[in-house]
Amino acid sequence: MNKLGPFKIRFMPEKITYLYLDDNDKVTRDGDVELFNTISKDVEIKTDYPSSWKQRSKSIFTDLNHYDGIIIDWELTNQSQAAKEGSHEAEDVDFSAESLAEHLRVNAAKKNVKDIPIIICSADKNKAFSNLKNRELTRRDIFDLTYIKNDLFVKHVSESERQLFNLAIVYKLLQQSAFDVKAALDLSADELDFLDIRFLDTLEKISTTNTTHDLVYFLLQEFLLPEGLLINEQIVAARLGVDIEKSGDSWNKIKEVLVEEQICYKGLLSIGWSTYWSFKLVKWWNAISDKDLRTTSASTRVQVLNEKYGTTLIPAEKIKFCSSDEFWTVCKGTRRPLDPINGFIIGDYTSNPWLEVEYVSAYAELEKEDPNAWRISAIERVRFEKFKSKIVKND
Amino acid sequence: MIKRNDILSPREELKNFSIFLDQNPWFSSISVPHDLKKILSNNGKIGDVCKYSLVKFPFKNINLDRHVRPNWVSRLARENEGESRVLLEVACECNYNFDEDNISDPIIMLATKIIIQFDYFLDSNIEDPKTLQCSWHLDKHDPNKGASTSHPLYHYEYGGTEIRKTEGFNYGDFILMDSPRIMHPPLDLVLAFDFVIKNFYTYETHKVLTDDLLYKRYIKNAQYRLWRPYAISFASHFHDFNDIYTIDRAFADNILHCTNKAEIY
Repeated sequence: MNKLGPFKIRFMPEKITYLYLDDNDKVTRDGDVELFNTISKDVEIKTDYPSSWKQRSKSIFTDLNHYDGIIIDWELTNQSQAAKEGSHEAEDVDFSAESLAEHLRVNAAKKNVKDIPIIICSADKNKAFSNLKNRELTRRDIFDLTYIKNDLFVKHVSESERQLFNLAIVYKLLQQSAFDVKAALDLSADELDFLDIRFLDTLEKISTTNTTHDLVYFLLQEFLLPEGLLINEQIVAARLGVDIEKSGDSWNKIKEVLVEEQICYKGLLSIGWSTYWSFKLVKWWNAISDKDLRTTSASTRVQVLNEKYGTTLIPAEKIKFCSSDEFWTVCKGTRRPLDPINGFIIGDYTSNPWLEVEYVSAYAELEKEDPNAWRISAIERVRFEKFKSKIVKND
Repeated sequence: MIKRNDILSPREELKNFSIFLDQNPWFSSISVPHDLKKILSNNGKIGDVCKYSLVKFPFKNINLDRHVRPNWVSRLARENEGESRVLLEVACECNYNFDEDNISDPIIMLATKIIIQFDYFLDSNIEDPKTLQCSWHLDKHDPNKGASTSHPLYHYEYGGTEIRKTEGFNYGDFILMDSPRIMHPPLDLVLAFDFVIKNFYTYETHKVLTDDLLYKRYIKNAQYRLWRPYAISFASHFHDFNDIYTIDRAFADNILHCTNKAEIY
């Protein structure tokens, strides 16, 4: 399969170009994106001063002829004189990132303009921005992705480069060709039967009646990023009972097996995000072992793999205070393997049925540094308080 | 004669039951109803066969009564030391017989497990809790496999693979064996839930759910679907129902004991 996945693209653009709007001066802006542009063969980010609403709300439509996506700094209105680059014509920025994004989304929905990825970023440790990332609090759905600026351009630059590339390509594909579920997910008709019919139905509905950005948002937020039909590498390792770090090359060998066995997700957005089908993992396991994966201990799971593939995987150990090593997820706090029976549910119950409930271990809850990092669900709080009192009593 | 024509297919019942449980605050506090909604995943298909598999479904903080042994568990439980739970597994494949005069087994395949666990801190070692456990199986025996010891078609069995798989399990003065297999009417997901709730929680705690008229209706409907054919077939050994029903004789015979075919002919 080519790197674009199963969709056929009519033309391959020379390069994907993003517009980055930031109210810093040109030198600072260009400095921000320099590393990104250096490492990327496929994506170039050009920067511009946002200017006033009067100007930008019109010019953005001609901008769309040159750009495949847009990145907006969350705090546009610092109104620094230097940022205007000495030009008398440049006007103060008098609008928010949200209003520009909404402006684009509404016009894309009306089919006045093409739909493009809109990404928002902000400087580190901006508390209000952290809240923005928490989707319960704002209408994050006008943005495809939110990044901390340093993660986007420096710390995770090779990762974010693939993601920005993939997003722009997917937007183009979806606006060019008719949506086909099998091609989009890269599954056969038989394999579709393993998926939750409510997921397939919602996907079908959104793809036929909604905009491209609605569809991309659904794919990212209700399918690719959360644990559910797809799981990330950490959860795959947890379900196989493996300690990734201690296992070293043996884990890489298992990952190669997962590729050979086609357990990796290869559908839309799989260039930017690496995930695995959870149903395929179980199917593969059942082909190599007669033991039920969910109810087998980590050491037995690892033993099966080591015997079968000649690896020297090391089983993951239980988190402090946990009783079971029949791991199935990872603790949201420590990112270490956890059997949900030892976990405490965080967040709410309103997630879609094909997604997994999220858990933290008691250890993570007791040791957490940021009190707002997560919140144990109201229905589990009494249970946690009881558990905590036992630990404290015996400590 | 009681006849109920308003009963929905098992698939419909299961869907409504899971939505109902999800909305009950007490049930949400002892379990993870979200995981229940998952098993409905592929049950929207055409056809009357309903198939599902629930693995390690937790019922948290069960009641451990004062007769539990060893004694110290009873004390720990009283003092709220340690977490207790039941893990339920139900694998079931059933169809719905709309012809009520035709008595046959609605269940194609059934395997349930009830695993009871109690986590505690050995010598106050809080870092590595230990787990005490026991388990029960309720299976449908495959009559084609025959049986040398008593095998009622549906039977409860103590222990099973859940205990045996635990390496280094400390059996103490206990022995574990397959017999006896105790005759028991089948439990699908709805009835297994009711079984766990009513056996492992006190009436005072579960009445907020079980006194609900809707809840009662789900249980009644499931009993009607599963236990009515079971009861009539069972009773047919002692009463002639030939005028009223057509009874699947193999089913009726197997309810008491699955005989090896070779044994008969």
